[in-house]
Amino acid sequence: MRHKTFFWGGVVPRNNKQKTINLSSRNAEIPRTVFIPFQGNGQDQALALVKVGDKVKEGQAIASNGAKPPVLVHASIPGVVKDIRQAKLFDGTVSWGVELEFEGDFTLTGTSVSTRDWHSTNPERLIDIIREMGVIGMGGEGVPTYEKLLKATAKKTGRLIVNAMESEPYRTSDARILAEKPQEILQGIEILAKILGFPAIKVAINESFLDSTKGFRDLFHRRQDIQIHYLHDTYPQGDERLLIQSLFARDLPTDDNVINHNFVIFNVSTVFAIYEAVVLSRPLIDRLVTITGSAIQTPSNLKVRIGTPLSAILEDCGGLKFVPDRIVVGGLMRGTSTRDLDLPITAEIGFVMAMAKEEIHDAPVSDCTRCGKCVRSCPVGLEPIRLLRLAQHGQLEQARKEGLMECSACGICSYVCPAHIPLGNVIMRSKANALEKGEPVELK
Amino acid sequence: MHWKRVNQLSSNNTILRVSVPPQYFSDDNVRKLNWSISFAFMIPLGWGVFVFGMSAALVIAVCVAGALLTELFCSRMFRKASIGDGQAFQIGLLLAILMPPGVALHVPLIAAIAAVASKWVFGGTASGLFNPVCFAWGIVFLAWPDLMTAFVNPFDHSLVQDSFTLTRQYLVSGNVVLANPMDMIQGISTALPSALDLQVSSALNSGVFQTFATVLPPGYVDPIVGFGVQTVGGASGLILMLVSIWLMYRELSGWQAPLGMFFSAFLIIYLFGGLPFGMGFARGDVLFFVFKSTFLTVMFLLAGVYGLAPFNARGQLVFGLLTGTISAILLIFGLNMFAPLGAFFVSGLTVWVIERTFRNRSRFATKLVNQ
Repeated sequence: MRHKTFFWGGVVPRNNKQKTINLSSRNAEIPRTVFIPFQGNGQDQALALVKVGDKVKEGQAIASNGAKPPVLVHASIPGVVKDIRQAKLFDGTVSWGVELEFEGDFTLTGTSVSTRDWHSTNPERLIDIIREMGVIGMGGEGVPTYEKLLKATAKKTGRLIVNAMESEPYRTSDARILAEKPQEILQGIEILAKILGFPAIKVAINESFLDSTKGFRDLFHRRQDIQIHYLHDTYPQGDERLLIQSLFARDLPTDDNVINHNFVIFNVSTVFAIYEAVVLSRPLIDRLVTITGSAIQTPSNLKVRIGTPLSAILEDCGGLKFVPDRIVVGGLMRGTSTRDLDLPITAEIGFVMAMAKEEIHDAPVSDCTRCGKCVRSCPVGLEPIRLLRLAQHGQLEQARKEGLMECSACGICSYVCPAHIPLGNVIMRSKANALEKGEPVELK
Repeated sequence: MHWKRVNQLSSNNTILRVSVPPQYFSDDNVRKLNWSISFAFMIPLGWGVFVFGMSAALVIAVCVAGALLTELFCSRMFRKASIGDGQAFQIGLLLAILMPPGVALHVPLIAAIAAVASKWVFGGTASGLFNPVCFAWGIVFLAWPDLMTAFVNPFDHSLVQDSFTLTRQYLVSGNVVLANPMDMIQGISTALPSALDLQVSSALNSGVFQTFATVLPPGYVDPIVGFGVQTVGGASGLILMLVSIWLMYRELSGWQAPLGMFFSAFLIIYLFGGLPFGMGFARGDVLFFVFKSTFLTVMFLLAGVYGLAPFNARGQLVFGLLTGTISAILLIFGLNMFAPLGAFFVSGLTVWVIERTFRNRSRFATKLVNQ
């Protein structure tokens, strides 16, 4: 069976989803301490709703994002507030947050909770519940879900897309949610359908999840309102614009939110969090994370409490077989590598990989051979090598004209370049420079 | 070795590497790319040695040795280890493909030195106005047009002696008189077809062409099968085509430039190819011009290979159309078997213009909204 994909560029990167795709998820051990950052990389200490020494329950609101009405941040474990401090996050930013030391009993986990009858709840209240429960986009963007819903409900008609593409290589956390929680995902989609009132709903699933999502597929049998599309396992198929291109054959501009064009896209993990928030009244306190790589003793799909330090989940997977070359957080193509093992897991992180040198295929930068691979692979249709040369010569205005600002930072150009020229990095720095000073960018 | 708990890696460790995304790369590298293309080039060259004998082997050896030694010298001078990346070897092979088998040996040597030196002077294969191979071929063709058209008949293996004699005579006394390059096509067309050619032509005529009231003249099968009077690497159209398909399959070559070249040359030769022979408009013999020149070598091996053509698909198509057009004009009105190579040399100058004029446009730019 040949599955659809976007029209231009893309790559099928070396991939090893098979390593973890059939591993059932399990709960990670509860860490001794967690650091829970404020929502939106909080810059203000005053956003905390607790003070040092306070005892908090599991799921208790401990901070807000300062907006009106606020999106709340909840305690992922019961415990005592040890500190309110700043810490570095995986994207390099520094955020205020609450450090909790584990103490007390669980009030949400392992207890029977009454389910909410969401069918009889009005859409406005449902959006409010999602806000109170602190649900944010878990595909990596971290935008409060209620904001997205408010914008979308202002539209009279539109299309809802559930994104289960997970096109980042090696990553399988979304696949496991689809395999293990099909009923819950279905309810999550129905809740969104009720809130938005859109008639057309599409679920886009990576074709490599075909076997593991049979149960999910069967649920939608004979349903006219929800269509399932298996799309080709091409990176970056999960990008919003490429998803719309594949499903609706439409190209949307990069400088405009897709909601303005009547499309609303939710990651499948977010849909599950919406289900938990609305039906189980469970705030966003944990998420599924794929931990893989040849240096990991036992690759796993772990349900990790928000704020758990990186070292704790590596220990949970049996530790490391050997000293890895690098530890990657977030994704191989767009994620970051870190030395800081105290880094807290946030709601946006679904992937951790401890890589051996052999898995990276890194090499010193050599001269461009004009092979044109970067040009053929760019899903946006840019010419990265040309943009690089313009950036190096400080011709950022010309680079802008040639599409510099449309770069989606997918990293494909750097991935495919046989000369290992850091094209993506230079282009991203050029974008920043173009917005600021317009200075030439050095190749480094 | 079973490790080592995680907490042994302190937070400020320097063991782990930190890098910008992406965190891993495809297993392609320049070295692999160059050796793959070199492997492809060896196939027509191997056939060339079989057909033309030791003279072809000598030309290949001189081209490759010249390129490697120059690379070694330049890499020492610039203190940059580059000999192992296979680029010099590839340049040597490509030059050998374009050399006539009976050429005096100082010509490929100087071409190889010029190609590699130009690569270093311009700062890499992708940085100069000319591709190094085009540049070197252009220099030796302009300097020694007589020697560069010293073609031989297949299986005329006596030439190994002659190559040395020719080189010595040319360099010492300089009194060698060779064929005028403008007589090339005429010279080739008088070469005797092989027995295989005659048999296949006759079978095709009685079986296929008779039905359409046309005749395939003798001498057209040889260049396809592999006995063409050609450059070292261009004797077999079939091998060139198979190598080209393999290169396209391995994504080392594009199809747009060869297609564009074929299309434009076919059209122009068909329309105007009959004029020099007094046959009138739309009476051109496309097969004659294509098979009796270096057209197939350029179309299958040079035009599409990445690094020689523009880097985007539209540019490659335009580049192919331009090369085909110039080839056809030079072939029709110049009657020179090397016309397609000359056309490739000329259109190579326009690559940077084509790249700027026919560049890709962002698919997600605001103006492209198709609501």
